[in-house]
Amino acid sequence: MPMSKRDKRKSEVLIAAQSLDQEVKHVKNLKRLSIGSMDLLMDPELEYRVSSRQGTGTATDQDTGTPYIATSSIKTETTKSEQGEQEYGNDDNQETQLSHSSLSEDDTTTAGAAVEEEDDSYSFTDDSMDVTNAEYLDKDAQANMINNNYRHEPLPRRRVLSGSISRSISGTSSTSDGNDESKHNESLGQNLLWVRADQHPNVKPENYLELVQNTLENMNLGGRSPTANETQAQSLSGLKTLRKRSMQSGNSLARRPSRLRTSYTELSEDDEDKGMTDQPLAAAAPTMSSRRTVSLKDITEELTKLSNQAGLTDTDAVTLARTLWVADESTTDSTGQGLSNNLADEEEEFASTMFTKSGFTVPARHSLRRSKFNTYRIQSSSSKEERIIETRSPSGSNNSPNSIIGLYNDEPFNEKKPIVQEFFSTLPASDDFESESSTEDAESSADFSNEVSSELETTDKQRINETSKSWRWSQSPTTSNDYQQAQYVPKENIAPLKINHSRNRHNIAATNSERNTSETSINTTGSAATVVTQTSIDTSSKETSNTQEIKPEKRRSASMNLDHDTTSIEVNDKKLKKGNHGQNKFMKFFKKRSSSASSGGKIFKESTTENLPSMPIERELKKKQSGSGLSNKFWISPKKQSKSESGKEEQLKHKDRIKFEYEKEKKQKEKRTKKKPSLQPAVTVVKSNRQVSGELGTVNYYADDKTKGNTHNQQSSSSFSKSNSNRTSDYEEDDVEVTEFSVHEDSFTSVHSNSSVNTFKDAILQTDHSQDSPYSGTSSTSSPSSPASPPAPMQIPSASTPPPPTQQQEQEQAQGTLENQYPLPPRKLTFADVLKPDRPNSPMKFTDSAFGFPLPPLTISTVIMFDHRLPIHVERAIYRLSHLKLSDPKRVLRQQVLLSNFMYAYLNLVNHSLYLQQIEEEHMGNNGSMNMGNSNALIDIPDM
Amino acid sequence: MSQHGFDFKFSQCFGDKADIVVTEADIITASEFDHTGDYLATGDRGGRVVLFERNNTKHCEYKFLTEFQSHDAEFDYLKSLEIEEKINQIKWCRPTNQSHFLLSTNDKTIKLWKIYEKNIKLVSDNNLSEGNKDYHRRSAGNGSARAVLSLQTLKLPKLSLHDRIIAAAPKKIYSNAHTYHINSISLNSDQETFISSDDLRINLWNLDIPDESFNIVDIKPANMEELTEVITSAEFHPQQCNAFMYSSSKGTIKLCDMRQNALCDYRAKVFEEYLDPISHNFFTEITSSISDVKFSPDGRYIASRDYLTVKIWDINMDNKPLKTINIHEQLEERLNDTYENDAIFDKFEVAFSGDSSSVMTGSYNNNFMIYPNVVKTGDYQAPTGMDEIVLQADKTAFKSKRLSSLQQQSARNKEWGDEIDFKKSILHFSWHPRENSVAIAATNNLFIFSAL
Repeated sequence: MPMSKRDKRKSEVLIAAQSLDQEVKHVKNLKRLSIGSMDLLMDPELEYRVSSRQGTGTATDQDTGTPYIATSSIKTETTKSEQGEQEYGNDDNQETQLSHSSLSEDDTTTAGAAVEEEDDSYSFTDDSMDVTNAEYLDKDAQANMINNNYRHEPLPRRRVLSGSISRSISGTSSTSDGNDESKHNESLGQNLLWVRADQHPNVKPENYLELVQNTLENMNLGGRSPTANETQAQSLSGLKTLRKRSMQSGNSLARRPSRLRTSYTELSEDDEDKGMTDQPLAAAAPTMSSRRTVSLKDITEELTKLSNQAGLTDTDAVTLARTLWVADESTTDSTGQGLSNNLADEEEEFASTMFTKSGFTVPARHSLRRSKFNTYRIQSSSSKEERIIETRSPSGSNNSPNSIIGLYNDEPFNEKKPIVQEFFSTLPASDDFESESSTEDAESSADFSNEVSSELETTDKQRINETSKSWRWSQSPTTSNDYQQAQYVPKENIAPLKINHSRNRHNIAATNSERNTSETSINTTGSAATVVTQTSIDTSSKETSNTQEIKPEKRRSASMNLDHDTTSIEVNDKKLKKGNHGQNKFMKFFKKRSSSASSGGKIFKESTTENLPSMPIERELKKKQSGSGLSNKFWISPKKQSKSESGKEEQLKHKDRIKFEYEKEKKQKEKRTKKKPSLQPAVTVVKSNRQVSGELGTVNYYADDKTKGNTHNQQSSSSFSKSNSNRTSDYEEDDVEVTEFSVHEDSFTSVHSNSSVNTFKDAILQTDHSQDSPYSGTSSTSSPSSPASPPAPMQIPSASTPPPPTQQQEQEQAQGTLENQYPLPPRKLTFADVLKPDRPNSPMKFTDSAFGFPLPPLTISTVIMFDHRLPIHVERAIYRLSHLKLSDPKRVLRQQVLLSNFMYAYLNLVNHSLYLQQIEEEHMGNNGSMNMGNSNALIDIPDM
Repeated sequence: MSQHGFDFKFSQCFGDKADIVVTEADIITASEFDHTGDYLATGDRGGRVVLFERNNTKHCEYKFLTEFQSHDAEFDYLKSLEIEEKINQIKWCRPTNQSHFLLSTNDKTIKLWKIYEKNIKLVSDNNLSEGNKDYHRRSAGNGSARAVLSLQTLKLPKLSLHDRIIAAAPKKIYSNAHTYHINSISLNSDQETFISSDDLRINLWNLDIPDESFNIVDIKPANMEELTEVITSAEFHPQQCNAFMYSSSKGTIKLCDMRQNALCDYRAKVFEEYLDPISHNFFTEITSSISDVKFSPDGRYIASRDYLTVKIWDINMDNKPLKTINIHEQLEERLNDTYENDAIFDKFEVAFSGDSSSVMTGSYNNNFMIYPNVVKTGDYQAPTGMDEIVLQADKTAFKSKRLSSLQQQSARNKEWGDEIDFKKSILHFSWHPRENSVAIAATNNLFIFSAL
């Protein structure tokens, strides 16, 4: 529905991007039916559109939807899933038509369909369901209610899918019913995979409720035999229907006079005997009857299995955190129950599929239900990115492009791979965390990553490493939030140049142990960058605030990045459309820009100074734009590249030149973070360096002197501001190459890489942090108040200082940043650490966690829980159980709140213990050989 | 009262005693004595309110008075929400003109009921009946019936008292003011207003004006995703009509003065304890949520109940409770179980005795606890030798009545062994305002225990 034909004239890519965006929105909505469920139930968007599959309408949508996705850049990875969707669409069409006819003659169709089915009424309801709208359904339902409640008694084969799904997608399912089991499952899985989010039954509130209820009732963790499941479920559901009916007709029941009319002061002896047996027990049983079939024990066992399969057997905090994720993922992933097709081979390897196998269905949304967790998805993606980087650093990275793609295309439902991925993501998250602290500790994590990588390799043999790399790179921006961007990026990535580039980089990085640290820092920066991007996307105002905090140079860089992010989409579009033209444009852009810039390096400085007074970056940009007459895109595009990690492919595409320009412009950030000089392909690097250096030699120093007053060549070069870079770019266009300078710069870069990396990292982190909090929590800009902000200025000077920092320094800095990011002290928490809000339910400031999604502030309970830890498996089971509990929408608000608070408190607990452990290992590492460990890790995983 | 001692004995049990399957509708969800203690009301899940009247001043026995359907199940079509008929709370108003008034509420709607004795009179005699007689008579004789209706014979019909019934009529319906589920209502001491509290707001009503209420507490966050705290209970101060308190799921009690502000959620006096981590548990986030809070009848103390403790607060000391009573230590090792079966979310109430010195609360296995004289008031009496009386509102009550002493009972009841029946929880009860008698709602039975 979102896309109509009128959109045809728009580029397909754009449409695809939009559809993806829509998808994401719907997923968010899905996840949102939670604490605010009442409000959300009234969401106008949800209410009607989703209310029922309206025959042909949806079918056509589906059909139209397919091409979008198909075209949408995932070509390389189309895979079965896409086919699945197409099939699905077709099926749907057929089915709907079928059912249309069936409407008039229910009996006949029913009979036909019912051949294989146990009960006519089932098929009947199914068919009718497809065609008719909600009211019809209801009538139907009521009519059938007595005989059987279709909601609660789906066919045994469908059990996995749970009632609502079978209903909404029943079209296909019923057709496939006739087929053999496997096929049936397959088609179902595909359907599940590719139902668009806005049409997914779960979005429809009542369906959703049912789904959840159903799920809860069907949750028999152990039971694999469908018959057992079925019978049990049937009895349960039967019970439930009974109860429901009694409640509905309950008036009459209630009208029955109260039993309290009679009283006793004594029990006659016989009565007494009777009474003594267990009247109350029997009495109470039915009323509060077993809503919950899942016990902690079950969950514990299941989780243990899961984590064992994942190779997590330790009991330390890191493992705990990861296993938590495993659990989470399984929850989320189980949504995509049916998708086993694509990943059938992987099923055995990854735990989460176990749930699929056992028919364990879990509500589609993530059960931590504050919409903060919408961000969770996003964050996870960012974390994914981190992971990507991570994996790259050790192993050279083998990632399954498919999975990534799948994530983006059909986040909500196509989750099997995501399982793997996210599972991975845990790694990166923790690793990243560690890396920030600059401890190379994480031996365990490294091992783990090794395992994972190996697994990935096995699974992903098909894919070319290079492509995967490219994908990763592309993904990082994608993950960064911009879905449109994400889709576009992949296409761009295809360019071989980029791939090579990234590879080279990796190799280089791997060789140098020192660089490892830098690498890690890069990783962190990368993640930070993504976060920044996200925020930037959200609101430009935030960007401005963030940039304000940073010193002018950094500010600029930040602003550049942000701008880049925001406009990047456009750029991408243009790129895609125009292909090679993009380069030209860029060239033009640079020229124009150069012209504007050429007005004087001073201008740039001025602009920076203006910025200092807290002029919004955007303004700056505007100025520049107006001056240059260039669109934002151009501005952004270079910066994007500057982001480097994510955008490198693009850069490559655009050619070395752009890259270099870009790099220079990029602000030292890129250079430092990436150590571009070293990391980049030699040829290009040289070239770029020369160009840059030449320009820099003249302009940069000048600019630096003016801006900072730093006379150091190195400093100037390292810290050369955007304006410099701009100039350089201009110069580049002129193609003036000064070898002398280039040499100088090279040396400089190599020397300074460490220091610069640190500073940049810090800056980025800070920006990230500041942005992050508002992003996740409230809309407030709060950059000045954010804890991260103060350190920024402090560190900048250090960065500007020429001396190459030792590793210890680096560590310290990293730690500082870490602490900035993680506000809690590295010790056992006390009540003093808890900031109590002055009023209830006051806006919370979410802080980043090792989990990849923001956590609310510390509460007292977390402090208390520190003294009352339970065995790790119990804790995990409890946490998991709370997911399940929270997924019951009928739970009263009080319980929901308590549960979510409890879960957050626990996550905080884990997060902090993780932090403590990290620090501990860090100390150990200082004493011992952290570097060794790290380098080993890197070397060990030779990669692809 | 306290001189009555605390020799609580089973007195009466209402409801089925046979081990039949309990209908959900029969589960008692509220019980409340009126301010004289002569009447007792219970509400159940089926939306019915059952009233009892004191039968016998000597032995604290009650008899069934009347019952009426207070609430019906509804469906909110706008929000697609089912509204249960379950009675969440009942509060008695002061009687006027021989009629009793009470407020009853379900999740959304509060109703004011008038309960009164209604004489049903029937026309025992009228013209026609007489005419008929005449007619018959005459028809037996000779003539027409018309002739009978002469002016002289016309007279007013006579009414004669046929029956007396107790009638309940809804006088006011206070609806549409709560978005969330109402958890408590409380009448003001001025008998003109009352408050009703749901998860996020507290509204102030005038009893006479059902279509208007004032929001006096609102903790709803702008963004529901930031919701971390809900209101769990609220009550007016028994003497000062401007003061009320409410408890939150974060374990805090706030005492507010309505004179300060229209919205009272800001400058409240907060009763909150500095927590000793040792005395808590892994589930502290859940168990520290206050499920019920009550003023003592003299207005001096506050009793609050969370999952594992009862705390007595002096209204003048907000930094720590006067006393913290651990209710069921047995449970502490079994919190996992309670969490697993959701028992950890049970909302146990707490009740003060009429003399403000003693407290009672409920537990599992149909146990309830009475803590005699926990509040050391001026007329402090020597403890009766026990600081905790554990009774079982169960069939065993019939037996133990004549068997063992209270101490023995308590000791026995305290031993749960491994078997804890979390379904048999005593959540709702009421303490007679003038004597040591309690009404206990045990699932579908109502037990009266009395020390008289």
